[in-house]
Amino acid sequence: MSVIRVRNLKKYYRVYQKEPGLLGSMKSLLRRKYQPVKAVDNISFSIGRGELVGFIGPNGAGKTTTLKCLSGLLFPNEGTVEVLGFTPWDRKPEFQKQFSLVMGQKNQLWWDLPPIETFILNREIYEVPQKQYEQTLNELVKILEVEEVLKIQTRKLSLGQRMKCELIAALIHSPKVLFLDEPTIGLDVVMQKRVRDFIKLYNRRFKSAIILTSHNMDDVKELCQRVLIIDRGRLVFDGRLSEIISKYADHKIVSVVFSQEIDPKKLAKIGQVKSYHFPEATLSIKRETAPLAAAELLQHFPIADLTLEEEKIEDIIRELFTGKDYA
Amino acid sequence: MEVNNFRKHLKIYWQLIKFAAIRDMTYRLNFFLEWLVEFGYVLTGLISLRIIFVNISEVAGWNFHQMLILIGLGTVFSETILGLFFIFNLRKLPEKITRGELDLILTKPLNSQFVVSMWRPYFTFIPSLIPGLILIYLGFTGGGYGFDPWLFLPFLTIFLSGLVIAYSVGMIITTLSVWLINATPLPELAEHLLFLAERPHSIFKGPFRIFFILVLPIAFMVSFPTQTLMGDFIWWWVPAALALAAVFLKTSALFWRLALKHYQSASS
Repeated sequence: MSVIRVRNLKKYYRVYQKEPGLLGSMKSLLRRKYQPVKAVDNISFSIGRGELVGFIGPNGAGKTTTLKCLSGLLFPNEGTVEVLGFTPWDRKPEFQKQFSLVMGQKNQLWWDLPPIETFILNREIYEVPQKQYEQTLNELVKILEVEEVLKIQTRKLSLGQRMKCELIAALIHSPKVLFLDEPTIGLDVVMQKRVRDFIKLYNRRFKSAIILTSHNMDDVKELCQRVLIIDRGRLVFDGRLSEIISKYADHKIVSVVFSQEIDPKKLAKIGQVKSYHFPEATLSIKRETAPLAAAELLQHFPIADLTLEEEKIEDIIRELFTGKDYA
Repeated sequence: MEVNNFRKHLKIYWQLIKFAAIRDMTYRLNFFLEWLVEFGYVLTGLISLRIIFVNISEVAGWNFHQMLILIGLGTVFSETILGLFFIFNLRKLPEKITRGELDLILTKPLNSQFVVSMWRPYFTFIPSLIPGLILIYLGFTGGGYGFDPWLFLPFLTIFLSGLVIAYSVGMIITTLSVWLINATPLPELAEHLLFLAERPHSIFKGPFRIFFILVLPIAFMVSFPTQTLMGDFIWWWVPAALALAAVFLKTSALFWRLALKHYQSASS
């Protein structure tokens, strides 16, 4: 059963364009040129209970705008959205009590007060019964290992500690739907991993539907089986992460270790040489000719080792965004 | 349902007041400086008033001691409005809109107008009321005015209604910043308009007088409550104040709701 249903969602903006320099600014005081921007352009998808979906795309693709429409912050130009049976922009408290939005670049913790004060305030705001609050808080604090920082002023916490406390503040009411917008941004690799482990655990434990946007492909690879790819406001892919490879990866990567120095020009006749630093070389070869090329390499070059691999998911997605070929 | 919702908001507001108090008292120096500045401000105002009244005996029918009461109540009025609604709330609204800082608080199950205009009270305003109260006391004792206890309720009704009207006017003007992104002068404009209330309404003549009673009813904010305190009370002020407060508050709520439909947030 779907907890999020989006049908033909459109959100258009008008942004004003200014010519450079002081003169441009003076001109814009009197006369402004506006350009329409299709931030979200007719997208549709559904998400079921307990699903953890990655929502990826380049900067300005429309990810955050979509999340803001789903949270009721923005009114769309067209289309329908249902989250837990509610229209988000009606901003009904019954709906707002059941979801949470975490934005890695914005915080809700009170800067001059310890995080525990924000948690108490959120308990009042979301009307969480005291017993449930204590139970949830204890559980989250234990998983995220933040017992020692609860009573320390937020401004004195590290970014990682703050992010963990932001997550607790957002989850204290056990939301059924969670929108995570770049939750690992700015964190070091250790903290990124901890946040990812927590999200995974939370999703399993509470069966919440989670939409995660991130530019960090490790987040998406580790957490999401399904991904939605959006570019220039249009949804260009909706499916399992593994399907991206079968659908868009038209090349394979051949990694070779040579036993003797070779002429790189000869290597270029086999496929596109991505790197060559003796004794190692990496080639990108069209999927259908890859077995043949491997055989040719083994036959005509002094090979110590050879492996044939799929392209990295990050590379496929990067090429998707730069090549813009979604056919 | 509505009663429960109101009770919930009151409870949260109490929590927010406590937060503000903790926060303001964390910065001790600022806390005491604020007092000092407020006393200095009232003292210089008092000296200017004394100098004016050396040459004239009254301003638009108000003598020196009446003016003291008016300025005292005006101080209480403006400090309350600034502390509760403007300093950390409406004044910051255009900036918050420009930076997209409203996003997280607008997703909370609370009345969004309450959130944007009352989220962070400025606790230091409470001691700032003291100079105003001292001026009222000096005006009453110096002028030899008596206070009729029966007029306390009408006074309170008109004064509180005036605060509601002032808040609503401030809210309506500041709400325009949803459309006019980065419109930082809007709260300042609202404050300047509202501070006209600290002058006796009788200085306004003809169409201005009608304007400041009906269109922008600043007369109900300080002048009429001051006159009521001094026993110069006209009965229709009470129902008129209540009706105007209800109309202005509702208008501000409708206008805010309309503005939210046009809220664009900021790019992440």
